[in-house]
Amino acid sequence: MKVVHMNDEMIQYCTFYLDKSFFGVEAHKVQEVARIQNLTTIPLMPDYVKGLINLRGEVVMSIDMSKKLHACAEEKNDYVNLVLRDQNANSISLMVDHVGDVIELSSHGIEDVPENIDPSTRKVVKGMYKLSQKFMLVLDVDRIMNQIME
Amino acid sequence: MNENQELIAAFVEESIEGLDAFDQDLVELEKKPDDHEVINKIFRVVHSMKGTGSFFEFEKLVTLSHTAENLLDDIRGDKLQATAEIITILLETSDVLRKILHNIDKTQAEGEIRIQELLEKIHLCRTTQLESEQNQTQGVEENPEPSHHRMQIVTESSIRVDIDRLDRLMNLVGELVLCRNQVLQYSKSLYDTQFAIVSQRLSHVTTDLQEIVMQTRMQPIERIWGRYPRVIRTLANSCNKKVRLIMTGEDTEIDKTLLEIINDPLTHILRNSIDHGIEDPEYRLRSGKPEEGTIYLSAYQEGGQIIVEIRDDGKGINASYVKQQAVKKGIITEAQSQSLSDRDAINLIFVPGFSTVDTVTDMSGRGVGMDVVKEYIEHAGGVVELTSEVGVGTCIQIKLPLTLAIMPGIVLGTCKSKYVVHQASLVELICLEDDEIPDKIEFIRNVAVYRLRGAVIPLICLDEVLNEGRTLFDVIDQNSTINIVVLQAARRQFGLVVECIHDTQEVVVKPLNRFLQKMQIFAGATILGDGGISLILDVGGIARRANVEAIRKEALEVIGVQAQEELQDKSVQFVVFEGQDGGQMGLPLLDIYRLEKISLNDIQKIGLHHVMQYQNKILLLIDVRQVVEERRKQLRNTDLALSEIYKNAHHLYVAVYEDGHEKFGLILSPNVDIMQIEVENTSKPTRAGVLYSTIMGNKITEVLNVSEIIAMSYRKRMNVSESIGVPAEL
Repeated sequence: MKVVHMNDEMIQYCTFYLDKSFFGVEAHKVQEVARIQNLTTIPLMPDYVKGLINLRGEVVMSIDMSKKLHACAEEKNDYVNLVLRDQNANSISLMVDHVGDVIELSSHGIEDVPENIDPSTRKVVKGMYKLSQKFMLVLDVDRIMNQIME
Repeated sequence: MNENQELIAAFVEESIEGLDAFDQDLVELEKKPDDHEVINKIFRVVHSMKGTGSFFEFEKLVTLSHTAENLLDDIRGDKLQATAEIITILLETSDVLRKILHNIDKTQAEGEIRIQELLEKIHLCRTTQLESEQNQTQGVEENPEPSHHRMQIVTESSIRVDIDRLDRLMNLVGELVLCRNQVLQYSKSLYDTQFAIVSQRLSHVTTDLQEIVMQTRMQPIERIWGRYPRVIRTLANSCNKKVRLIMTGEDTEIDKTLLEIINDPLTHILRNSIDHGIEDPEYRLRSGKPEEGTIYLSAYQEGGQIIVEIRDDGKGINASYVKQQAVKKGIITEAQSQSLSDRDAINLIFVPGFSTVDTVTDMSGRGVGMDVVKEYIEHAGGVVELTSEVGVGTCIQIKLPLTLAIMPGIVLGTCKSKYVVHQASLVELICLEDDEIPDKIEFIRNVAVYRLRGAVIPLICLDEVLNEGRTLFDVIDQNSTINIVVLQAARRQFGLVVECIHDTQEVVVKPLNRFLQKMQIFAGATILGDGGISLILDVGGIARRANVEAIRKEALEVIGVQAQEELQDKSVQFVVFEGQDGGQMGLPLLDIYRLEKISLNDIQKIGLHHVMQYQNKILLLIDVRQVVEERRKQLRNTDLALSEIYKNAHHLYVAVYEDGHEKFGLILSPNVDIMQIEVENTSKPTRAGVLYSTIMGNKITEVLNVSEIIAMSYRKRMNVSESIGVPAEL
């Protein structure tokens, strides 16, 4: 589904918590939220590539986002699979702590990411919203889909 | 879409297909201006377009095709010669017809296309040549019915299906295969005969279904290649170069979606080749090359992938020039360019924003660069590789996965996980007992090799290659039997030591994420019968990663003089059998893929060919005795059944050979022997098909030349078929 954001449009975001941060990702790019699935490890991969999961017959790569963003993160025992899908029908699954509500925000409100966010997080985020009680980092799905291995 | 629109859409689709063949045939016609079969094919296309077009009242289309039809009729009636000028005009006509069809497709109307000029050109063509013929002929009618025109009845034996439906069908079949695997798994543990019988039946039906559904989506790569001769002709003409295109493997089948994806990249590569690769005729002659440049386009299937190669004999890519350009464009620094190897340097052309030619020609270089080509192909899950030699030529190899392929696999296990290998890569399975190890496995510094019947092959350990914690030595230490899987990649063999060998399964290949695919270690993933995900190994990638070639080299060095002699000594194994006149014939065992003992009943004759079922395919058989000329030069009746020739035999030995991606078999005789001899004194061959004669087991033995025999067999089939008027191809 192609969504074109005009300047004053409302965008729906799926939100989630990862470590101490609050993120949002464009809802139309989220394929599903899945429970913990049996993981098959892939040899010779960096540690943030957790493995492969079987989603109704589709083999999807699962990424431990904590490890990707913070090099020395611990093993996750409790997480949720946030499965993203791009316009070419490629999927990738991110291990996140838990998922929040779906919220609607105006495209006007998106701001640049502040300097104090660490570099590895900045790489995967394309903007930020100041909400009433917290900040929401907007995940850059295309960046993740295309450059997750870099 | 209402009914009329549907009819129009079908008409447009058919017409475009017809024009594709039209273009291809025109290029053919230019080479063979008197080939009436081709002329008729071309004629029929415009004829039917005129007919159906008039039904829809597409006036311009009808007028143009009618005029072209008249021109073709003149050619058909031998009143006109198909000169290069005429071919070009007809190709131009094809283009204009396409434009009209395009408009019809989009707007249901012909649109504002001017055809007057083209009509006049065609008319001029006809009259100028015709005028010179006026002296010989009397009044010429429009469209006379030539007496030699053969009527051909074309029957409808196909149906158009929406590709989305085929996609969904494929997915469902994939799921069915997975389910079937699970059912078979349960069946094994249940010991219920009734259930076992039913699940076997399910299995057979599923296999057949899967094969047929896969085939519906497969089209020969010729579908896109068909346009290339014309493209080459146009480009070569505009660059004032002489180029010919040689295509092999055009019948290689490839999934329809992949076809669409690689068409543009291939076209672009061809353009590059002509524009920048092939030199102009005078330069070529001066360099000692033939005036006409050649582009070789080939396609074949190997181990679950489609390989497409484009090779030219042009001037190659100059690494230093590329480096220069790259530094100029700021892609790399001067320092970096110093340390770059030539091989890495030429791959810089894949970097976005790169174009080696300063002046952008119309054909290539503008907008579409090699970086886009690479992206297209990687998007499809494939890889591109470029090799080049200055002055010699350039070769671009594209590997594409058979995406939703269902492949016969063999499941291997390391101590931690299961992996699948395509059966096509499997040479043999070896199980070594402890006491055999000293004889068969040799340790040289840090590496190991295995003695496989006289050859020395590198030995690697899967656990070690995949970093799963154990080394080759661990595995050998900890196990009393060693499992070695002998695999083949790029025609070279190596042995893979694994913890265990599970079973064979037909598995559904699920494509992997692009990045994983690029690493070329895993070719895909699958879901096994037990529900778990298993990675499919890319045999070539594993070999490269484990540095198999380096091991091979090192081993051959270290094994040294004594073993070198042993290896190179002329002691070779031969398959020896009785020839047709009582003499003995031999074939080197090493070249043979498999030596099979086949029951006579399994060999069938279809037309002029002997065939048999082998590994789920039809294997073409060549009867050695019938191909190698008899000394007595008797006329052999090729209609004799094998059972008559080989009386009293129930079985025949067939030597199966692998020729690139195809297999064929040589029928030897009811009995064979294996002899290991040192070939010392050889004498020149006495007849075609024989490499040399030598003594084996006290008998004069003719060692056969397999490739020559193939060629002879092919020629024989062509000759016989011509004389009895039957097409040589099945």
